[in-house]
Amino acid sequence: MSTTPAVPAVPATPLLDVRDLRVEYRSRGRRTVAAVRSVDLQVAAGEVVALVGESGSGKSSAVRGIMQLIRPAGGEVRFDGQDLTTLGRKELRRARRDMQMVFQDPFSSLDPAMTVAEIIAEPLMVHTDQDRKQRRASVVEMLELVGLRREHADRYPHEFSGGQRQRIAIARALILRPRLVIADEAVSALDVSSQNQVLQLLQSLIAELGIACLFITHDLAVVRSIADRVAVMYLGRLVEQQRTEDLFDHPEHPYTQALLSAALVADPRVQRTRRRTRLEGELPDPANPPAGCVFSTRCPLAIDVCHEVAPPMRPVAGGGQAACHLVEPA
Amino acid sequence: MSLVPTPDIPPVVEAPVTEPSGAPSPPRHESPRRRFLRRFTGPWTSRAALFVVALWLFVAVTATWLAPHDPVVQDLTARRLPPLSPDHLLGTDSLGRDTLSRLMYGARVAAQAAAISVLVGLAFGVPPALLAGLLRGPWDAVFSRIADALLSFPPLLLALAIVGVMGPNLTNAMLAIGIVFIPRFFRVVRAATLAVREETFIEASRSIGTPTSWVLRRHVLPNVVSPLAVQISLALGFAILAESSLSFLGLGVQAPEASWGSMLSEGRAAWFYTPWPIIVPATAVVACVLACNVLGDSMADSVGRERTRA
Amino acid sequence: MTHPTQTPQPAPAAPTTPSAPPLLSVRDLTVEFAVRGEWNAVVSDVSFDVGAGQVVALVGESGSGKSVTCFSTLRLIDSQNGRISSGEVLLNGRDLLTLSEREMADVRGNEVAMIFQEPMTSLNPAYTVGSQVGEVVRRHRGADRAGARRRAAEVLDLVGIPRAASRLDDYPHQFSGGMRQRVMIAMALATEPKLLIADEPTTALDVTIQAQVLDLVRGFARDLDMGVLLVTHDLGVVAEACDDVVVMYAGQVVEHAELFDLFDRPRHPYTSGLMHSLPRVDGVGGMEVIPGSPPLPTAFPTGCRFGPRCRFAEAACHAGPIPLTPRPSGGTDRCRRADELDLTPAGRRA
Repeated sequence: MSTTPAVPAVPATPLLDVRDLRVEYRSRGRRTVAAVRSVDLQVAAGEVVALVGESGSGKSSAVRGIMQLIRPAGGEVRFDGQDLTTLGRKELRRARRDMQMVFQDPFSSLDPAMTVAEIIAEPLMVHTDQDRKQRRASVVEMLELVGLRREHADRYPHEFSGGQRQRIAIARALILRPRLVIADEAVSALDVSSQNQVLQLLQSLIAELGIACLFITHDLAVVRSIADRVAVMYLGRLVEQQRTEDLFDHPEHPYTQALLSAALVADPRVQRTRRRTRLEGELPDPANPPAGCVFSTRCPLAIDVCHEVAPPMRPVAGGGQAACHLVEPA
Repeated sequence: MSLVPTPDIPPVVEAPVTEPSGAPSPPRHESPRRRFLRRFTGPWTSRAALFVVALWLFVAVTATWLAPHDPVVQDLTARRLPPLSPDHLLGTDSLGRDTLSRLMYGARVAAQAAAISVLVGLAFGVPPALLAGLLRGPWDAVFSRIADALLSFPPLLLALAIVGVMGPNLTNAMLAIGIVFIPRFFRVVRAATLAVREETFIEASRSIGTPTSWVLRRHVLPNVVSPLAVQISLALGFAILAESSLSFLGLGVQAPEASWGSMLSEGRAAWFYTPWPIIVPATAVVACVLACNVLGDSMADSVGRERTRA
Repeated sequence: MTHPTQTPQPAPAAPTTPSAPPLLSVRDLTVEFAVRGEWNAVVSDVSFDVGAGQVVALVGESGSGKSVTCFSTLRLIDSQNGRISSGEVLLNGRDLLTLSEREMADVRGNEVAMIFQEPMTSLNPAYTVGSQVGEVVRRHRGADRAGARRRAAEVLDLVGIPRAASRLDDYPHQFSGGMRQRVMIAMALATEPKLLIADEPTTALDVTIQAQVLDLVRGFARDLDMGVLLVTHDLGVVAEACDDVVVMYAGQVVEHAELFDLFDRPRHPYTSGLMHSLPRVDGVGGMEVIPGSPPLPTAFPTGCRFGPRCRFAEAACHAGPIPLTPRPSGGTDRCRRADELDLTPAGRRA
């Protein structure tokens, strides 16, 4: 949960400023599939923003577009004022020093042929001219910071559990003290008890080091404890973005409402009395998005205009935004 | 609020979590390479094969010093001696040359041949494969088509053609065999690279800001070495066979130099009366080729990159 | 294999068992796996019942033995590395562990059906959906081709696949993840099994789809009077869909109770730890951390297996194995200090 009461809904001078981001894939039939269609997203220095969406929402593609792991088909990605989409390879490499990632699957995100120390030190080797001894010292410091021990440095990833591997991945992401960490489903592959350990670790470290975080997840429950602001994605577009407590108190977009009501609560007395917005059907094919609002095919409230005109993001009460014809603009 | 205050950083229990049904948990701090070696050297067959190959290479290197006689010096007073003759442990051939010495020098020729061809295959097969596998796109298309074209040549015919144009000697013959290896190495390494490429740690490394050459050297290469080693081992066996075949046909090593293939060829005329000049090199060829193939197979069995899943 | 003379210890009967004998009764099941030539019990003395029409949750983290338990009830464990060393699995009073492999094959997919976590790999991509569902019917019901096809259309319709009859000739890749899981359920239901074993059926699905699938499973349990053993790590799924809960940790049952009773009055610290560690969408929970990670089967503690991670552990907890004892409100738990600890939400706040 946010510690400062006054989190602006949209920061004035964001660290990361994404405008009209579009990411496309070319499928085998030479058809282009737009995974991300016009996303605007801002993250201020030190802020934690959650990007929430189900599979097929385009959230992972959005991240890859932001990190320039896939070159976006359009739009701007300004990091610290510099548009990453216009940078050449060399300049981009330099810019990446300040933005690091933690990936979902801790079993494939660590090179099995490298020791833990080599893995954690890789960013140092690429971006600094520290010698072996200095690097070793930094690695040991990071290991202790993430709750592992000095003697773990010379072991190989396969000797660790999922939660421990994710700690190693966090150590690698933080060793350069970046200004932004992008966590892509960083805890969803973990077991119940390690999920919370890693979540709290990540939360306390970014708060302590003052690092901004873009936290990608499908799990709204996780978001509630960690994010200052939440953006919800559906079929390649943002449908809503609000301060965390506002989003949970009064979700504006019907999709957000459905997502919230579908989340299961681990308490039968609460769970069995919750009102559910039942969503019929499934996500449309991203190659064939519906005309009008992206959610119109499954929306329980959809009216004629929803199937014809795509609603723009409009401000709502409380300072957030929602893209829905039925939401009263503030 | 919770009953007990939450510790800042939770302690970590020593034991890593593995599947209950998981494979035997490996000893601590075992690198993937060590684990490979441990599994690989387990069965007696691969240890025996390793011994044969080591013996072959040892003899190849030390033939000059170890051989009791000069392999090309003829002694017409001691022709067609049977094995276990005094001074000639494995007997002599129809020109009175010491079979054991010729066998040893033949081992050297076989090793040279294998080294040349495999190095040619590696040098021209592996780098394009890494590039093609990692970068895909037009590079991949071009390199793959070239490899397909090379692959469609029958190996020995290609060698015959090259030797026919460039003249019969061992180096030319083995260059030809090396060309045959190029597409084989290419395909194995490209396939392994394609698999490694999909792993998140490649993306993770790129997201850190590493250049492509770094990714290739530090992440891709170490992870494609194992399948490549299998292929090299099988290629060694094939190279021995190819060298003896070509020398047998007179297209490799030229008389009077000794090679297993030329020994077979020369012994052929009188094999009915004195079979040992044929049996000895034939045994060497079979043993070495078999050993290389066994090595390759057992390496392939030991490669599997196991993962412990929590 | 079995011990017919052994009497089950303090009758760990399911708390909501009706008076009739249960549909499935697992008694003192112990399963061992070979690690480096040594046999380790991965599941020890697990007992629980599933009644007709009842949904029983088997809850635990990876390595808790929950999946091994459910695979063992159908004898689906790899005989190279694993063996069921003792116990009984009674289906309507018949011990499945004493059946021949042939008889067992008739039980699987017929009286007992199973659905798996991964709807992407559980269907054969080379055959149409209609033929895969139909095959089950032909195998177990001896139906002819046309009859099997009719039945396939029927069950696909039952699980809510739109225009089911027209999709019989589609291949699995033409279905989305949620629809594939429905096809799996249709396949499981085609023979009207008495018992459905579902191993993490919704874990790979999106939340909005998860709710649909759980509704389906629950509805069938009620309407067809089918027993369901639902294996999951997600207490939200448990709260939504189950009647009874068996909580497993390190190969043992640590607590077994009726759903509401378990959540209102958890008596094992692991159960309450699980309930309070994960953040919830309603803002409750997520404050507590269970430290460490679960032990390996090769290194289960000799005393309480949860002891090393337990906040309430005393020296005596580590002294020797903790027996399963009856809970005052029905069911069982495995904690020495269950009577003195107040792990209810109110008690934890105090």
